[in-house]
Amino acid sequence: MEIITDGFSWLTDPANWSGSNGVPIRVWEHLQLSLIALTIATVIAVPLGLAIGHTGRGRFISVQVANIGRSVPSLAILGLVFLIAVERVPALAFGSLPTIVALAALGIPVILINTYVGIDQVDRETVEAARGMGMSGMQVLRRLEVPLATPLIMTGLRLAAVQIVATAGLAALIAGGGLGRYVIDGFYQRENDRMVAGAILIAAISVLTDLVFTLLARLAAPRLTSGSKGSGKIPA
Amino acid sequence: MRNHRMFVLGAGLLALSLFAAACGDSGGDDTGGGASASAEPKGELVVGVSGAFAENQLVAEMYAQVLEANGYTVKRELEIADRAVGNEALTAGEIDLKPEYTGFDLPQYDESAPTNGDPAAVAAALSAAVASEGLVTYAHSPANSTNVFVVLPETAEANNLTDMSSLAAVAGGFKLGAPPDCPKSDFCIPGLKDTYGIEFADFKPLDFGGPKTVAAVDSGAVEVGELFSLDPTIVDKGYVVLTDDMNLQANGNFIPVVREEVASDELGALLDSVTTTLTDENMRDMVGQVVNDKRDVADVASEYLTGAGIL
Repeated sequence: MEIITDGFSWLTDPANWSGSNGVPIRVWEHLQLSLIALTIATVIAVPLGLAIGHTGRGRFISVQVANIGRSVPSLAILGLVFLIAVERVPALAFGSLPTIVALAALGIPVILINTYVGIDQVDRETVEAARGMGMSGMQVLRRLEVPLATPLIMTGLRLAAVQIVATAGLAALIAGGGLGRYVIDGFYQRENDRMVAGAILIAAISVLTDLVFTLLARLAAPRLTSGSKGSGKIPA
Repeated sequence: MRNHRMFVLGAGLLALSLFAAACGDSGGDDTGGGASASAEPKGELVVGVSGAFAENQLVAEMYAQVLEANGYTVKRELEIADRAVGNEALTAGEIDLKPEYTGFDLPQYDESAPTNGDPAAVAAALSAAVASEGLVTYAHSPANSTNVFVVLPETAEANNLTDMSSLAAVAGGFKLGAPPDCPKSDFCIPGLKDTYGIEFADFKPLDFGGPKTVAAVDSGAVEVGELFSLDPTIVDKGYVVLTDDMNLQANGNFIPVVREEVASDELGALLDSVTTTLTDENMRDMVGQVVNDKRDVADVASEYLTGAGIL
């Protein structure tokens, strides 16, 4: 267990908190990669999940594809995108681009499935009632389905975010930044304390990410009380 | 950076099978070598390797073929996983000789001896160091399997780069691609700074002379990349190798390490007839045939020996 305490002593050494290889910079790089990847995954997966859930079309195929996507290791995607990038856009091959693609691919299935299921589980009778009140398909989606699916969509985002943050260390394998740098460099430079510190930091910000998204989910939860009039209060 | 020669998997098993094999058939030399019926039969020799990788197996195979052609019965143990296992087998008498690398084998016997500088001095130091273990060495090769820094031909031409000293003036505008241990390795960033005054603008931690480094050099993601000197990729891609003119790198010249009990002037002369002809160029070519073209080590070795007039 000494190796763990060594990791913590590394973290408390002020020398490791400054400069281009310091903790703040590496954490920032790590979060940057993760945030960009999560944003891309969200922009792709949420509308797709909404469309599939709302229309019921492409349900089988997309769930299958998402499941396959979940079982492809991020490391494999990273390697593949890296190889393609080296050929096509060499300037972007080393560092962020392949990592972001791999991380976004990691996030898409879980967001997609949660969004789709969130919409799909909305009570059909409620949907029929809304239609009966004269709501258009888009209105049903915005005013009814999305608010009711929000908890599940947020769960998808939270799971994706945690997975992405926990995996973003892969960037270091292709000369990228982030906290994986400490793990890889610590290993090869035989500085176990730095390697362990990197692992501790990645674990810590993964847990923090989970907390942040749990809070966000609470804030985003629709307040549908029986007394609520009109749809104005429901976030679209 | 020497990790590339460390293959620990299965080391124990190999040592075991090696032992069994060594005990297996002794005294079967009356049947003759077969390779050359004319040479009078001599003793049986077990030829090992420093590690089960192409360049070392090639040299071991060349030794084996030359010895066979001159009347020795040779047993090959070319799958020994790494140096540690091989050295143990050698001192235990399970193998009789193996090709080694001057500066990489030396620390196993003498941790304080310098491994870089004059190749002859390092070879002599190894010779002195192994003596107490009942081992002798013979001539070392001009071929030097070590770390080299390469640039694209365009980069070399535009900046007049030929050796590491010439790199110092322009390195400030270059990025270096090397293994992740480079910032801490005496043979990499700190050594380059101390010996040559080379300081790069940026460092990209890549792999140990592998495809990432090659890709980074090719794509221009880095201007300077660190590879292994006998990597056939250097020739395939036409990279310019910057000469280590101030001898920073450890010397990796091939040298046979032989059990004193089987050593003789004749044996030494036969080994020398192979070792002294090996250069970076012909070794890269042979490694390329084995690694890239998937050719048999024995075929490549015999083709070389015949072509060079040694066999």
